[in-house]
Amino acid sequence: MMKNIKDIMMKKYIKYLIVVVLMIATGGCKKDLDLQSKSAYTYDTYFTSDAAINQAVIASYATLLHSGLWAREWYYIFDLLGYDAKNAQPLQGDLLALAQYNFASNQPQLEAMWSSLYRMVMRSNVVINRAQAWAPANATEQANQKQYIAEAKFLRAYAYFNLVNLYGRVPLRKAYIPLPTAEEINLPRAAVADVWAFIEQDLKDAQADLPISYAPASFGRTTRGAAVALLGKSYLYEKKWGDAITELTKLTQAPYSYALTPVYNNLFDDPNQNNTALNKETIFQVMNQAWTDWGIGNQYAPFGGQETWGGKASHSARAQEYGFNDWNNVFITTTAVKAFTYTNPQTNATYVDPRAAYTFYGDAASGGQTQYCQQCATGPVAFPYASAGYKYLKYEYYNKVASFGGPQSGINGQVIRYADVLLMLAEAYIQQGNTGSQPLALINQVRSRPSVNAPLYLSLGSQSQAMTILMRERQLELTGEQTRYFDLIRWGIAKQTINSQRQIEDGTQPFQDKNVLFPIPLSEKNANPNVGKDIGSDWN
Amino acid sequence: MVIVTTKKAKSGIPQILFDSQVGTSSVRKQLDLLNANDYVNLIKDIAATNNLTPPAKLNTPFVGVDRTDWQKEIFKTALSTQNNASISGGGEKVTYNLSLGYLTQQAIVKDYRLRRLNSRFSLDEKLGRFHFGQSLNIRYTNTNGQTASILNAISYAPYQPIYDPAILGGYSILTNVDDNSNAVNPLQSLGVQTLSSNDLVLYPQVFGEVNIIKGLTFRSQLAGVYGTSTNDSYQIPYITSNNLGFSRQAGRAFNSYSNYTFENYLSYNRIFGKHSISATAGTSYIDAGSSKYLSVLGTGMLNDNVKDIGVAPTITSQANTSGYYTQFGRAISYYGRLVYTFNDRYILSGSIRRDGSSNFGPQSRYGNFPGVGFAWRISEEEFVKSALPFISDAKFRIGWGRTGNNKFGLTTTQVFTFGGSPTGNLIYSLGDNKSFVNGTTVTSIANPLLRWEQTDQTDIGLDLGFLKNKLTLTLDYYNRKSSGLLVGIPVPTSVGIGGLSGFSSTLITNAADAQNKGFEFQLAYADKTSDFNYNVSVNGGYNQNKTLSLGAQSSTPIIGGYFNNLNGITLTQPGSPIGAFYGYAVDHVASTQAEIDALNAATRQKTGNPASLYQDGLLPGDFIFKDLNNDGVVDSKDQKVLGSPIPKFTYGFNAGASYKNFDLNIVMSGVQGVQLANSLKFYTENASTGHNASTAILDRWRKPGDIAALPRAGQNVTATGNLRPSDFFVENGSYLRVRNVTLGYTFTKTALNSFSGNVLSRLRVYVAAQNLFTITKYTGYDPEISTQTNGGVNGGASDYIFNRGIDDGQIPQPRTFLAGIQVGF
Repeated sequence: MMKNIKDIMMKKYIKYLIVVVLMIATGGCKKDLDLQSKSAYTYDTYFTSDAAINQAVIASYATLLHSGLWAREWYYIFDLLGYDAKNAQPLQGDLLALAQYNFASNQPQLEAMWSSLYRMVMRSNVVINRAQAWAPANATEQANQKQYIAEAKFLRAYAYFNLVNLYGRVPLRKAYIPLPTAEEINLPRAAVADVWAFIEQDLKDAQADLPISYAPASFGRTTRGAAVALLGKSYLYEKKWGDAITELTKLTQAPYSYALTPVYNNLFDDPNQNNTALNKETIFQVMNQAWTDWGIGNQYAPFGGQETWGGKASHSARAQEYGFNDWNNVFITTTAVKAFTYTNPQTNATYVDPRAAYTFYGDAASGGQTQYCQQCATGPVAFPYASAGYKYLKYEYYNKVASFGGPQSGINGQVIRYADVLLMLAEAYIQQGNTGSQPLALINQVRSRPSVNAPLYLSLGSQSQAMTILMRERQLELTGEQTRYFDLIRWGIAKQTINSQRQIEDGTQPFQDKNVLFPIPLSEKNANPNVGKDIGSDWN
Repeated sequence: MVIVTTKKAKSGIPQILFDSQVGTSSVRKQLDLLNANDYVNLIKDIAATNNLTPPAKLNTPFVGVDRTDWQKEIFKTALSTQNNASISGGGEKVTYNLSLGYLTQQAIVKDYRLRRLNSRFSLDEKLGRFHFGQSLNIRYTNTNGQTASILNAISYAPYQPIYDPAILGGYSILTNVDDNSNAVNPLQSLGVQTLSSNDLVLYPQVFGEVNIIKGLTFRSQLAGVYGTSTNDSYQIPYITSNNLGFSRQAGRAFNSYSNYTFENYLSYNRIFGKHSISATAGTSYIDAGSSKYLSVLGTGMLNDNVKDIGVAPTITSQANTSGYYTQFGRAISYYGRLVYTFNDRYILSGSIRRDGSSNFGPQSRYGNFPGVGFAWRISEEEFVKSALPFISDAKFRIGWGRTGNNKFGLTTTQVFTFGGSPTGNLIYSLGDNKSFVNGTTVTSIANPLLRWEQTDQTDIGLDLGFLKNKLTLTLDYYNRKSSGLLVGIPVPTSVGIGGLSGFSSTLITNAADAQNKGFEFQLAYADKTSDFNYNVSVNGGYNQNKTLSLGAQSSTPIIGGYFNNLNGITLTQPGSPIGAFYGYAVDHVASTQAEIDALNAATRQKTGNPASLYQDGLLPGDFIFKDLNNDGVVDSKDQKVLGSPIPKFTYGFNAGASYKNFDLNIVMSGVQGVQLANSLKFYTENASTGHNASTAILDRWRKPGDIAALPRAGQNVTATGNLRPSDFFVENGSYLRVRNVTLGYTFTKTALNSFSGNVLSRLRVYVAAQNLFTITKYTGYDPEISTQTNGGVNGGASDYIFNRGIDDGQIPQPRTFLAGIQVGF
């Protein structure tokens, strides 16, 4: 009897127990399905302070060091294609294809450049979006908010400036959209005029809100002068001569204090280029810190390791890549060397321009530098011209060491400098038909830099004579600075110039009519149907 | 639902089993590579094509000597051993089972070794209406070393010795300057790096079951995983090809992870006369768990006397992440299932489950997944029994069910910040001293509209048995339709995400609908006489895979299958298989300029454009591709589907026999109607840059007038010309493989008693061979390609389904010979 009761009780008890257990079980399952990331903040919640938005601005600058841009490949692309450089035997693979003009829409360096320029656009758009959504707490923060947006607009304009010049019509992405629709992802190409208008507006906005200079800790950020210079340059490329003159002239007057650097090589010397007492010429540069230690960053970070496996590194691979005692991948072309020898404008005698010795190593007759290691403990060494040929000096630092031993250069990349501005201003005058004292003075100003001190022109002659002089002056001043390709395309003489130079040097005429624009990258074409259907002959 | 079946211990006296096995494995095949002389000629040809003077070293006697057979150096005969012991026993109410296993394994490519210790302990208690169980699995794994790269062995110069004491690190190198090649010594990284890993994982599990009323049972179970691993590395300073220098460094990475699954369900099984009911209803909860990873780099050591990060004066973070264990975040499921059987003949089933996953946005977290089925045991019907007596068993099955997939990255419905990987690596230099300043941005876009990927499957099947089931036949038809496949599709690079290594350029999307339908059969016959038992079976399957449509979010055909920096070779578009090979068709190698001029003249006539060319950039010695659309010009419109990496036919053959004490088992399997992309041909049959190649490349174009199978050396390193995606890379991947042959001998009780008394209850010895031989036309190492090591570069789709069937030098399946012994006490 007792047992039965116990059984019955037990059964009852068990049923309740079951119910309780089931409730716990299902209750345990009523968990929230929202999961938070433990390794990152969300877009909405992070960029809500001055410091956070400043970080977003820094991330936009960081794209200048990305693949295809200044830390690696930018120099290859434009030096090889603009024929400031040609391949040496060690240059192999896809870079050799670039040197041979044997490339198509999947050329890795060009795809990388396109991607990085658009990454610059995207990160700048992130800054603008987040800075506008942010409520600054005080006057300092309000000023910073304006500056951050202006910096982003400058970088965005810089990216679009390159895109429109190199590719023509390109998708114009005006804002970062975190949750885009298919239409917003697959944006079609915009008209060239629309891209230029967007660039102009960005640079006008940037000019209004950028400071003229910064405290030493912020040195390297973009300034009002840089926005003026890039806007003037844009007008020049758009053939808006009057506007170009107006803009570029601003930089020759107060409040700006730009001046030519007396010692030419200080422009390409780390650390002298950062010394504002020695160098007042740089208007905008890409900041490269010399690599020091594997524990901080990977020496090969410029080879695609930026921000990831490369650790903390902002050095440039250029010196190592071009260096004759290092990877020795390119020569300066003989035609570029020969350009430094021309007729003395005052005497009609053959003249070798002194800038040759700041640009390349060579034999005495070429005007190139014939020694290196001038500051080495072991003393100067004769440059072995007979075996090495003509090799770049600009952006190298063989004056200090005999060999670099790996990519580690801290020489900043000169994006826009005052000499370039003076020559662009001269060009705008000449293009307007003015070959008089104004352009003459500007050209002579560049030639009379103390360390150059080349004989001055007495007059520029006709408009076409003046353009010839101007063109040579730009070439000599800016060899190896990735401006020649843009200049040749802009002047409409790329095909004839490059083909005639290459005919002399290697018997090829590789520049075809289609080469005035780069091919739209295959990665864009394949993924974006609206761009894909808008490309002719698998090119542009 | 996860229903865990445990190996139950038998009550009574303890049972002890022991088995041991030893085997050797080796590579089935090696490629015929060039000897030193032919290699040097190839390298010189590359230089000549590019108007370059080959390095002086290539004219010295040094390079004419074959010093190293690199394939022979990297492959080896690998030893493996396996030992297992178990003991089980217990009483009426409690049983136990303990097993231990120890395995050692070497790779067939130098020099990697794995050792694994497994132990499992379980208890099972039956107490009246209650039933409990507890088990704990422990797995400890230790690995040492790394495998050499097969691609490096193919590429590296045959005139090089392995070692070169003059080079920092001690291994020979190549440079473009001296050798016109920068291929990497395949043994270098093995020699300069010391790698090891230690991995410990615990799998605890408990359950409790109670019988509430007759037929009704409630079960609650909790299963967890806790794992931790450490990876150590040490690198001596060394210089590799092209004089790239690397410093002395040490690394250590820690990972720990954990997760649990909690499941509760009621099941009811009752028979009422001719009616039988089986029902289940329950819930399951899968916790997101956690996963933590920290990796550090040690630098600044002055010598290599202690190869451990413990002596490193400087430590930097290499990676530092916190995340979740599962691929889908948290998951909650509610499910029910009912099976009703009438008279053992008609079986009706229905099920429904509702799954929720935190992976999806709040609007689409839950999915409902029903299923229904019906089976009819025809052989139980009287009219069948009387009319068709030779049929011993017959069952007809039909079913339909829907399942869901929620496995993709955790961060795709929101945009997250990025400050470098690890955080802190995103920097720019500012100030006159150019100090690093940290940056933070975003590197993705998000897709909040993601929903469950659904697969609807219809199955129709027939099971037949004849002659008292000596002969059986199973026939199956299936039709599996998947909609909204969750895959990463390439995003245009102009969006600004991707394009830098480590950055994803894809967006997870419900991208495509696809269908797999097919037919499978198995025919088996088994019989025995007093001494002789045997069984044979054949099986086969036909499968048709087709993309039905691309999703609304992207109508663009999806390109994947990137290798060697070339263009993607797979295309997914409606009407063709998922990840089908796609590209140009090679016609032949252009022999002379006159031939090209004639082609161009014909093109001009056809197009009416005096500037048009048949194929842009075509030179003598290049592949001439076919003008498939016949418009006179070879361009991107002249591409077609070149094959499918998904086999159309799969088949197999099994045979087993035992005669007296001997037993023999043979397993063969094969696939037919499948293509592979042999990306090794980029190295073996193409020489754009300096590297070794296979002897096939001797038949290359060298001078005008040559009729050659392969193009000239030194041309087209990018996919503009010869290397564009084409049928050059695509090969027939069919094979028939003898997977396993085992011959065993079991001692009789009498024999055992005669030499062991009563100690041994069972003794069997055997020898076996795996992958004994393979019949295939495939020219690479192995047509059986199971892993994907390449994918979403250059903005390509990264998912496996878009990148399957690409051979990029993966370690081939080895041929293995084994001998073993099984003992029972």
